Amino acid sequence: MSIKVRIPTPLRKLTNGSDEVTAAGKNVAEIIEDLEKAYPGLKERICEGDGKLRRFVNIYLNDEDIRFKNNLETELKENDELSIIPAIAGGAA
Amino acid sequence: MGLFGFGKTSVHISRSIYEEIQRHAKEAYPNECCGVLVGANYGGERKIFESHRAKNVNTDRAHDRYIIDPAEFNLIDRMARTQSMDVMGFYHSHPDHPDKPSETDREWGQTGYSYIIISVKGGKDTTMRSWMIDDEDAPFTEEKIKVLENQ
Repeated sequence: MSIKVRIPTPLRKLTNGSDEVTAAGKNVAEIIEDLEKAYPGLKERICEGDGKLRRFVNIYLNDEDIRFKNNLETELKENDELSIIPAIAGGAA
Repeated sequence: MGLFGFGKTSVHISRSIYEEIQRHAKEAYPNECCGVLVGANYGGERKIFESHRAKNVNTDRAHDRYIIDPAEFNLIDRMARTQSMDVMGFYHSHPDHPDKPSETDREWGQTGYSYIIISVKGGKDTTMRSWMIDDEDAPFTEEKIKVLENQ
């Protein structure tokens, strides 16, 4: 199954500038593996060495955070859209 | 690039958005405000067409930290795409601190976005500067803010 994936600005250097790509898989983890094949280096920007999501990264399935679903094992359906959303944070101190 | 020089990009912003960001920073004082900037990139000239106030979900340390609600970021990004625009960056305030990135800002900073920082002194006086990170390991460099007067 082919899914559209929204690529945020910081990761577009790895997708030759594309802001949206397609990848195949039946859950989020498989999509990330497929993305890594097409765009080497992308996986390590999304996942820690142990395979968990990095704390600087959120992934939304349509309008839901996958951390509140089944995380990387979240199943996908036809016409679903994934968005990689970087964490935006900071502050004066 | 000297220590106090400007980077290659500039950010263009209308007077009304500039004033809206200042207003948000004053209203949020003594807490930090934050928001999302939507626009388009024309060969290094980053034009901001919309600013969206966002919720600071760092409620424990709202006086000196911010986290933009990722659900709001996702929603704003999806709306921007339907209008052929993109998220160009973000703004946040530094209550009673300078309009320069802190170590926390750098720790969390993402490449390719404009980060506008508004200093608010005593809830009244504001200054703002824009900053960007070119590469993952690079420091923030300042970008010029060009304020476009409303017609």
